[in-house]
Amino acid sequence: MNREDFAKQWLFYRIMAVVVGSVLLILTAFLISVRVLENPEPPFYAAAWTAHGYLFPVYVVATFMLSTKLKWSFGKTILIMLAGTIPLMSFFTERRVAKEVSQS
Amino acid sequence: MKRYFSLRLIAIHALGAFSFIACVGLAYWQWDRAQAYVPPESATVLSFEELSPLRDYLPASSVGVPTSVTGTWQPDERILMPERVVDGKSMVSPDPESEALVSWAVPVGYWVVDIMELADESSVGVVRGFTETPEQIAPASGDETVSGVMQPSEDVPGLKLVNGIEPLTTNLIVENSRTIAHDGYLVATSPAESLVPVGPIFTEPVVKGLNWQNVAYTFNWLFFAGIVAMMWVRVARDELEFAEIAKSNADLGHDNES
Repeated sequence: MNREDFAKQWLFYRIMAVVVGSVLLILTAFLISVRVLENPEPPFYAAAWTAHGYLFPVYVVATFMLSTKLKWSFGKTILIMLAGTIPLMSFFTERRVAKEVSQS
Repeated sequence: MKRYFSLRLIAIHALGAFSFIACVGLAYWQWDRAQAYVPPESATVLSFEELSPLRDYLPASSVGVPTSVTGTWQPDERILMPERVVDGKSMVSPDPESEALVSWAVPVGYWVVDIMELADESSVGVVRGFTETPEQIAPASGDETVSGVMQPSEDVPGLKLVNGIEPLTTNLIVENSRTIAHDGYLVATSPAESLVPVGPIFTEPVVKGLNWQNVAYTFNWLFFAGIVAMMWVRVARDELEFAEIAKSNADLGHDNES
């Protein structure tokens, strides 16, 4: 495995996991505010969800690229991709993958 | 050849094709949703000539915009549209694909449509109002200026009336006009004697552009479709490479199981 290539992809994945996780967390807080507490929608609300819609596929690409390097099974790859859709989850998976990488 | 048709590879292709088609389908769905109603920005009155070009379809952006028109009534060219109610919107079927039946709690009667000839000798169909007793309504005559909103011909795609109500179409107006008629019809907002003003079916332009958010989601799904295609190709290629390695191992006698 090319070390430098891997380091880049590893960094790419970590950045995307944290970015997608943070954006989703903030948006979920707004979602609860709007839907449950029935507050008015903040002005950037719709645009922010759209932005998230474009960030998530980038996270999926990052996960996929890493999965081919680490030889993950198909099921594991899909699970880690889906983790990006659950608030907070991508932070935990990122920690677990980090552990796996440091051991290899 | 066999390696191209292994069970795993077939599953990869099936899943790849399904996911790709699903993404493209979802993109199409968002594109369809993007053609949403966008309410008009203001209720500025536009001239009838601006709104309704002659010898052309009524522009979607003209629908529901207030206007006024001056001309001469044609007393011999009245059209009565039966089985209608005052509120146009309540006659619209929620599902354009099926026949909907509604029993009205409000009076059922006629929409009285009179033809007005304009200075340029074109004709326009004007829904002057609703009545239960059309025989008591005197023929429209003389010159008048009528305020109202333009409506598309009721055979526009996506519009279906309940109870099998006959649609008021441009064709019907053309058949009853002496001169060339404008597409669609005008619903008068200025009151006519002994008639109840009718609520138009469309109160805002049918399509005034695209909903940017759904357009963004359309491209979002196409983006996803691209990623799925990329993953599909990568996984299938890896699978083939893997089969190749396994085969050469078997050829070398390293793997006696295959």
